[in-house]
Order: sequence, then structure tokens, then C-alpha cells
Amino acid sequence: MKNRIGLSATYYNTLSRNQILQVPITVTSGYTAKILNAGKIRNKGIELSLNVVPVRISGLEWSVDVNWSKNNSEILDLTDEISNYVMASKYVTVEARVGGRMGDIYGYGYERNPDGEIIFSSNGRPKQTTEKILLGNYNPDWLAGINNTLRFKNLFFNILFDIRHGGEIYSHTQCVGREGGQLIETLEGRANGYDLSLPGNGVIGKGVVEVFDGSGNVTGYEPNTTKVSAREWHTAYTNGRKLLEGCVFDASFTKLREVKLGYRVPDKIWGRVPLKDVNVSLVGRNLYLWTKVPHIDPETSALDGGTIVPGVEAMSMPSSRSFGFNVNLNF
Amino acid sequence: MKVKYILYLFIVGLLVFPACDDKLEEVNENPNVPLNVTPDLLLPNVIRESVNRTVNDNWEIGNIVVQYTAKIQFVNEDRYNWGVRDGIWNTFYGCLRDVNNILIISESENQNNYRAIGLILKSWMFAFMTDLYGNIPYSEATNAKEGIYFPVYDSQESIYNGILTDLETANEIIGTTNESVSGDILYNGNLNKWKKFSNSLRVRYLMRSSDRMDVNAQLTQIIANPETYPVFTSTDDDARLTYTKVYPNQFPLHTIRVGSFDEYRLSRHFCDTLLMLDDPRIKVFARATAATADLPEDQQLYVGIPNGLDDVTALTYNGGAQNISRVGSYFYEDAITETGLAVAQGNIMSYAELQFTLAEASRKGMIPENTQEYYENGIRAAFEMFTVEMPSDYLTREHVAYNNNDALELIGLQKWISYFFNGLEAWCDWRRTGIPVITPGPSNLNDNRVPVRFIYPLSEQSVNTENRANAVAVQGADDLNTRVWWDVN
Repeated sequence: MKNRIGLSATYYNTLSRNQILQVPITVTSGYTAKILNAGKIRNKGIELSLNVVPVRISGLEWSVDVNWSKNNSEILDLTDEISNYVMASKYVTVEARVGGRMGDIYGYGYERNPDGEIIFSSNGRPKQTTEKILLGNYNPDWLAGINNTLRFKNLFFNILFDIRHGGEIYSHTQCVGREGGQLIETLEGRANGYDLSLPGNGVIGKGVVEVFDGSGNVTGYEPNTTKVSAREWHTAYTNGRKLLEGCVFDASFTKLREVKLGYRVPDKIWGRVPLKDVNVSLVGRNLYLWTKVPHIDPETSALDGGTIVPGVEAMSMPSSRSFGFNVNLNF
Repeated sequence: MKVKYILYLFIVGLLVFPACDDKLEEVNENPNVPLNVTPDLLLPNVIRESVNRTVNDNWEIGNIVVQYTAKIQFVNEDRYNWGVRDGIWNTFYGCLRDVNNILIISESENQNNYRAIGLILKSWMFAFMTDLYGNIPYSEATNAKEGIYFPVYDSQESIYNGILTDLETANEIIGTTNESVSGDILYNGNLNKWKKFSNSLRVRYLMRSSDRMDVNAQLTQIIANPETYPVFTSTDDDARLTYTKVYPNQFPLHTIRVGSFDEYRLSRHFCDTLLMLDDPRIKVFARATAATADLPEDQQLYVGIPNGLDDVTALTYNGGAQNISRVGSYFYEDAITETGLAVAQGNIMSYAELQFTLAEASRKGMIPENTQEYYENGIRAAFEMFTVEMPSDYLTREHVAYNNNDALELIGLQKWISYFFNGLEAWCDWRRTGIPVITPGPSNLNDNRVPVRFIYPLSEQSVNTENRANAVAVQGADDLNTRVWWDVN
């Protein structure tokens, strides 16, 4: 095969014990954190990398490198004292709970009936859960990178895709932009202002309302029919920045990370000048993004003080697109 | 050869003589920071932080819920969509750690004056929190150093018992040792005023729990023995923190954005009440509408906005913000003027409040009858507190003049006015007495109920899960509508 296919695979299974953690504790104890040795966390994962050269004929070579990885961290134990470690907190909290995965995101969600439909109050606003619920996990199911290289004589062309599959992200842009009516989503229900008697105005949330019997017990559910004004709806959507389930999105994306077109100057041209491997290339980075998350770059995380809060987008700057011209010289 | 030999010896030495000794702990001690403090260093911060926090929360919620102010924008609070409020909780428990240190140090140093002040501050802070939240960590709180990381939530009844006992102890021990108190930014080391404060607070909390326990004997004992139990006797005794003209000890609102300040306007309920009484204090509490501010004084208008409107209605009410009164300038840009320093204070408890409380107790027959005098003293003090001269006919006006039949309503109304900018305390009184009548706004999001409680901080669900869950199981749902123990009406 003349080195036309290469495959390497790694499987790992590690157990981390008794790491030094600064664990938040209740302020009612007089203190806000305790430093302790704790934790038993299992990391399991696979890393694969494959390179293939499908074409290699008279000066033309096409090679493909693919790498793929998957990691799963499970919290087996914290300490006897603590079953829940709040690792980061900004709008939502990132918590390590025993039995959960690293990277679990918690916050208030929509109250739902047993069929999973959102329950609305009689005023047409969705109800908020009384306890925090699991809203997602910021860790991806898998990551992949695909790099294609095409060479013809001294010309080369390189194209790199990055893929992230799975994982969730909370978008504060969505939350605040809805409230301010700045996002395209907020056109829903305001074709003609806030007057509900005009056509096109107001939103009827998709879900159910509770049916009560005489003594106030819930006996069943019927569809929600209460219309609220767009302004009301888009703040009710997050219940005033508290109910954040609606702003948590699948953070999967595919990025056209890099495209590069270059020319390798033949070494013999330099004669006695001590240069070799001289490349000139045009390069573009972050050229395109395919994702289901609206408005934001899912490849971002927030800062809280100096701490990175992963899984949270807090009006962050997206990664920028850049174009460049490279000259590489080797002596 | 020789070098190799020495190296061997060295390695063997490392193995045979491990270097641990009892000095390891010493290495951890940072010589650049103090390991021990004295109460006078802790006191200023405890007082400032806690009082500032109450000013902020009164502004954000207290003044809204008792309808001194109403919002024209970002109306969530005004529609009772409060969510979790944890500012008081986090700040107070943080301060209580230092109060606990003051108590520990003063006890070991036999400094009864500091200890009494510690007990008074502790009582006030725990009472403030339990009045908001109901059951909270008390008996096991602030004891992380003793290994208690998950303090249990105590019942409000047991917290009140603890508070009332501590205040009695404070009254007993203050002045029994000789140390002078410094770092006291509230009373400048005046122990007599602290003693009065302690007993006045005790009157407040006895009255607050009076629907649950028979407090008549204790109240009467305090009133009948001013030598043993001195209470506030004038506004000079007020437990009100005076701010300064210079940063960082200015009135907390002085430095907020003007846009944030202007979201809060004069409530129509409060405005109409003051206009009905032709009460000149309105000029301190609020200002004439922007549209009329430049007109001659007799043409200036004071206009309030109803509480609990939705966003669109609130912004457009009465033709917009220029036709609605802003909150008075002494609570904002003029907070650093002479009058501003006297008006915009961190009010923990006032002589006016005490007089109104005694008037109520007297009218209810809990203490010897002297209702009218207490009532009128309260009104005079409340004018004085806001540096407004009381009109000479004020006490004989309709809706003000004392009469026995309407006494409780009259007292409640004047007490409510006197509590301006101390809305969270006014809210406690309203929850207990139902005076004045508070009607939820048209777009409220709490099924037409005025909230009667704060929701526990979200973090407690994560870091003190079990104890919080137990508290909820005992007390009732963790929402705005579960009544606290003393709230039975």
C-alpha cells in the first residue's frame, strides 16, 4: 500500500482521586468555600486518528487526516460531606453531582406535565420549576477534525473542518436580546405593535394549562389558549432572566476552520543561498460556521472574574474570521 | 571516588532522616497578615456592610412592595416576579461571621461592652433575615470553624426566643466592664444609646411576635422601668447610620446610574395619601414632575404611578416619565448636602417607629394606656427625621387627628409614612397588621396576592440541600406566599 493508510487508536480509562478542590459551602456557615481533597472521577475515552492518501499519481497527491475523540467523565464520589460541587456559576450553574457527568448545567426550567408539555399559568406565561433541573451538559459527545491536503507539483491546497457534536450551551445573548426585542425571534407576535385586537399581534405559548377540580387539585390538562403581547411573551419566555431553559441550545457545530493555498518554492532556485522549504501561502481562518445555535458562536465561554465558565455564552465576542499571507523560510 | 562516596551518604541520609518536624505548621503562617483581630477593627465593616445592604434592598424591593415607589421600566419586581433574592442573605451571613468573632473575642477578653454590641447586631441581623425568609440557619450558623458546614434551619419561633434573650442579656451586661468602644460608626461608642437601642429592638420584636405569644408582661416591664430598660427617648437616639460626603462612605444610591435611579418613581398610592393629608414631607420623598418643575411652586405637580403595571403601560402612563414624580433628590444627587446627610440615612430603627409601636400596644391594651401621646410623639419625630417642619395644624387635620375608634388605622398610616425608605420593615408591619391596605397592581404575576416572604437563595439548594429541603417541608412551599411564623393574620 506504500504508506497510503494509517490508523492509530487510543483507549483510556483513568480514575482521578482526591484532587485539591475549592468547594463552595453555604455562606450560612460563615464561610463561602472550603479547600479539601476530594473526588473520584472516572475519565473514559477513545481517540482515533486515520490518515488516508486516496490519490497519488504523477505529481498529484490528495491526503486526508481525520481525528476523532470522545470523552466521558463520571463523578463517582465527592466526599462524605459534599455530594454536590458547584464548579462555576453565572446565570446557570455548572455542578458536579455524584452520579452525574462533569459539565452538567443546572438552572430553572419549564414546568411540564407528565407528557412533557410546558405548563402555562392562566395569564399565558410559562410556569417555572420550583427547583433547579439539569439543563444540559457542556461537554460534547464527540469532537472531530478533518484535514484535506491536495498537492500538485509545488502547489498545495489545504482545507480543515472542525466538528463538535453534542453538548449544550446557555446563551445570554438570547435571554437579553429577547427581553430587549433585538432578536429576529422577537418579531413573533408583533406584526402590528402590542394591541392584541389587531391581527398578527400576540403570542399563544405552545403548551397546556392545568384543569382544577373544586378543591384545587389538578385533574388534567388542556391546551393553552391565552394570548399575551409580544413584549410580555419575550420576557415571560425567561421569566425575567430566571427561567433559562429556553436559552439552552445544542452546541453542535461544524466550522470551516482553515483554508490555505500555497506554493513551495523549489529548493534548487536558491543555489548557494542557504534556504530550503520556502513556502508562500494565502490562509483564511474561521471562514464558515454551521450550527443550530442562533446568533452566537457556540465555541465560546464566559468569564466570571478571572474564572472561565464553560457552557455559558455571556454576550461574548465570536471568534473572528481572519485572512493572512504567510511566508515560511527554513535555513 | 570521593565525590561518589559523599553522594551516597547524602542519599542514604535523605532516606534515613525524613525532614518532617513540628515546624511544618509554622511555615503556613503568613507573617504579613494578622492572625488575630480586635473587635474595634471588625465593627465598622459589619455595620457599614449590613446597613448598606438594607438600603439597597429597601430601594429594590422594600419600597416597592409597600408602595412608596413604583417602577416605570423593568417592572418585574413591581409585578411580584421576584425570583430569588439573596443579597441580604449573603451579606448578613458574611457579616455575622465577624459578629461571631466579636462575640468570641469579647467573651475571652471579658469585654462586655463589645459583647453586648455584638449581641445587638446579631439579633437585628437574624431578625431581619428570619422576617424575610422564615426558618433560617441560626443555632448552628457561622460555625464552619467548628466543623459545621451544613447548619440546620431553625424555626422562626426558636430564633425569636434566642433574639429576645440575647437582647435582654445585652441590656444587662452593657456598661459592666470598663473598655471604651471604638470603631462604632453607628453611635460613636455611646453605650447608653446602644442600651436604648437594645431595648427598643426588643419592643419591636416582642410586638412582631405578639400574635403568637403573650408579650404584654414583657412590654409592660420595659415601659414601666425606664431605669432598668431605657428605650429611645428622642430622634437623637435613632439607630440610623449617617453617611459622609466623600466616597466610599456615601449613601449607597448616590453613585448609581441615573437611569437605574429613574426606573423607580413615586407610587400613586403613597403620592395620593400624602396629597390627601396635604403633607409637606412629599417634597422630601419626591420631586415635582419634570414637566412642571420649572413652574411657580403652586403650579408644580406631584404625580405617582400605580404599582404593578406591565412594561408598555408603565412607560406610557400619564403621557410618560416626564409627568411622573421622581424620588427625592436627597436620596440621590443631593445625598451629600447637609440636608441630604440628615435625610438619607441607613435606618435600622427610629424613635418614631418605637412611638408608633407603643401607640399600637397601648391601644390594644397590652401596656398602660397612653395611645394619643405615643401617636403624636411618633408623628413629630417622623417629621423631624426628614427635616421637615410639621404644619402647626397637622395633628388636628382630618385623617390625622387622633380618635380612639380609628386609632389603629391612624397609627398604621403614620407609621407607614415614617418608614419611608425602610420598606422592608414597613412590609413586616403590613404583614402583621394589614395596614395600610395594599392592593396588588393590575399586571401582577402572583395571582393577586401581595408577597409575604422571600425565596431561599438558589445556592442553598446546592450547598445545604438537605437542611433547606427539611425547612421547606416544615414551613411550606419555598415561594413568595408562604407565611412566616409570626404572620398569622
